[in-house]
Amino acid sequence: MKEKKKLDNIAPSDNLETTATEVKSAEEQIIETNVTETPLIVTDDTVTQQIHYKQLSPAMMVTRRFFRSRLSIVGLAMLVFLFLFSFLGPVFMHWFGYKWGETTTDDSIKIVHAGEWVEYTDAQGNVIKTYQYNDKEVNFNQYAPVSKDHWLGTDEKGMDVYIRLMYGGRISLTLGFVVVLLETLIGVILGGLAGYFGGWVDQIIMRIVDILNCIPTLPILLIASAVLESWKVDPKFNIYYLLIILTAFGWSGTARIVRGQILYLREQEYIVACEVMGVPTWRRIFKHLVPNIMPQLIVSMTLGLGSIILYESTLSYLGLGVPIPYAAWGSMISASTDPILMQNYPNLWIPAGILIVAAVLGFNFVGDGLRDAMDPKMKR
Amino acid sequence: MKKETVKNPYNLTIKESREILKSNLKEMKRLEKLKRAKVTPEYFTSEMKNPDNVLEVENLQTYFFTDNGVVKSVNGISFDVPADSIVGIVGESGCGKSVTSLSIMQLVQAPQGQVVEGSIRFATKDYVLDGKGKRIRVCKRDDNGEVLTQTQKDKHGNDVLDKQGLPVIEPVYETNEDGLYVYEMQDKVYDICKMPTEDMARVRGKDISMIFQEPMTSLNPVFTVGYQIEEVVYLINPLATKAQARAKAIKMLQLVGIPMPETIIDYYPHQLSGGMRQRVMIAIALTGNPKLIIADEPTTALDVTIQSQILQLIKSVQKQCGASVMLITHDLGVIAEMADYVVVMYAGKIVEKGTVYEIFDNPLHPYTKGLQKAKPTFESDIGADLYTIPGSVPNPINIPDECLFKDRCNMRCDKCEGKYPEEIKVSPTHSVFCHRIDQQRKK
Repeated sequence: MKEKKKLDNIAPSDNLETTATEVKSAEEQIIETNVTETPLIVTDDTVTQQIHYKQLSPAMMVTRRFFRSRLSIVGLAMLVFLFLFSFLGPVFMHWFGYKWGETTTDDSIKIVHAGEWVEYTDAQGNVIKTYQYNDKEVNFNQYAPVSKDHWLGTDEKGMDVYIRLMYGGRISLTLGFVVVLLETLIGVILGGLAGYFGGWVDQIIMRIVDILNCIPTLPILLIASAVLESWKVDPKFNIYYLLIILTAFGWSGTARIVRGQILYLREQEYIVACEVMGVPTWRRIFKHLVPNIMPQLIVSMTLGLGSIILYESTLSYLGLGVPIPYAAWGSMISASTDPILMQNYPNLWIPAGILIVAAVLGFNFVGDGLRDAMDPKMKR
Repeated sequence: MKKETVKNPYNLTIKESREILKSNLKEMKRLEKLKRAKVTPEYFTSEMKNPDNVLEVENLQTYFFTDNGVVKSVNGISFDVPADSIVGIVGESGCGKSVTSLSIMQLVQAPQGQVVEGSIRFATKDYVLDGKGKRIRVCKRDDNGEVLTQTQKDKHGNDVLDKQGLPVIEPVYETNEDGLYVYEMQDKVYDICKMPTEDMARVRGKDISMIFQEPMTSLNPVFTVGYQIEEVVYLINPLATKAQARAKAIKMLQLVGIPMPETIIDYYPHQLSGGMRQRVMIAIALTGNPKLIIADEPTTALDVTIQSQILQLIKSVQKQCGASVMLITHDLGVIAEMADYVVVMYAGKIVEKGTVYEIFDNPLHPYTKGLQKAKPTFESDIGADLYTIPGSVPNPINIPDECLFKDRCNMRCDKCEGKYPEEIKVSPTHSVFCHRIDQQRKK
């Protein structure tokens, strides 16, 4: 408008003819300029936004957050050490000429100094109390002290404690993993079904969970050990029964977590959208809902690992564990329940105890770290 | 001494509530049984009244059996969705718009919510199944109508041999422009109200899809955008290869105007803005090439600039794909911009329906008039209060069969106390439910 006003001002000044042409050309110019000045009609096809930035993938974000916490690094280091120690340790030790195995006994002859107080009455009728030494030869190196040959000594059967710690770690850690995986599998399937379908399915599954939670675990395990003994089960297979019992009692907690989460998540719009698109039910539960509860599951799994290791050692201590020629941390401690052994040979049980504590702590630290890292509400 | 108890007249007595519970359980059991029944497809196959329609809703009644009584959320509504058109459904909150759409998808919260009566006829294309219940692929035929054949190849391009050492011969299958197999289809009309839930898979995703209100929550946060589109591709074409599904997903993202779809396809929903997510939702809804898209307030959660973009997008893809859209909204502006036909709902009933021009140029029902008056315009005086319809939608528990708007109506007359007004056809497309209009017309 302004420019047009200017034109009007110019027009009457000079010769009519020239001004007319001038005006015309000027108008044309204005039209031209106007054309260029009018904003482009922006449609979706014309917009070519370039994305010139990169983002962290969710997995990277979680690792970044996980390693930001010092405690979780410590936990991870502990676990890595324990795994290397128990799975690669024996191999390394053999390379370096440490000749003992899990069940090999040190057959060098040892003289065991043993004695007892003996009372006898002499001719005068006096009671004389004397200490009688009766050294005996044992054909295996029992209760050897810490030495170059046996880094942590030997136990009652003359088996090397240090190597047995490594093999025991294998059992304890593998058992933990297997049990946790199994109970997570069962818990996810049953909890998922209960949470998604609700109604009588939910009723049945959750009542089973309630019943399992009501039963005190330890007495049941003691009864189980007695039963196994009366069945004359080969003690070698004790470990599998242990695994089954622990799984049977452990899945209820996972099922509860999964059910609660799915109960909340199934009302989310994306699950309704899935239903609208015709995604089959099993796929909706196990493909769309379960990945959403993965953070909670991973955390509960890592925390569960620690408790399984504790359970294993408790049970081994109670005699329902790995039988004696085979090693497990719990059974190694239980081998030295005798107060005299406990006092005189701390090398038999303190290392195993330390390793159990380290494993449980490590798993708990890692679990805590993962929980913080995977919590979407944490914005740091 | 007897203690005096003051009874609240608005509270149900134990006896009354027990009666409600009893009748509810009975009804719910009956209707749930119908949903679970095993029936042959013939049972729910129906016929369209007008072959041009995609969807015909007739006397639909969706009730919720609550402890306080029966909530008649949708109470006998009838409307049609013609092919290749946008039908807008407007009304206040709680007047049954969303329940209508959920009834069409059979997604009403069971067992409390049930479609009690009525029929929803939907013209669909269903797969032709062979004896084993598998879909049949369309074969390529030469000019004489003979099926073309080829030898079966394995992954490395070698011929597959049978036991005799002869190459296995298979027919050449027809593929569409995406390289996906085409299946034999037949036109069918299904009555969704009669369909058991199991059979809903015949129409969900493939023929009816839905766009939700909240783009923030309608995408699964743990999967990439591409995965969620590809999943629908696999559901419709189970034999699609990974590359084909991905190409189709990229194509769909391009269709909904997402820049750089090759990059965005690997993004997780949290990396996208609300508008982008809604576009992805539209892409997912369109992947099955549906005949009807239900958009349940698709722009309510978006800001105004994105709103118009999304609406334009819906309109343009509707034209491209030839689908019909059922647009549910409470925004008359959106309706005016988008819809071809308008259905105005109030308290579970339709009060007026017609083409968009009829409704906006010649609103007859006092409720429609009120809604239009309540819309802010540029002409209205600055500082003047916006017109509101006094009161609110009545609680639809045990509602009587009479005009429910009469208490809020400024054109009330004596006749309004009577039964619910009959449908008055003003024109072939325009009809209204009001006693007042009847009187005016008689004069």
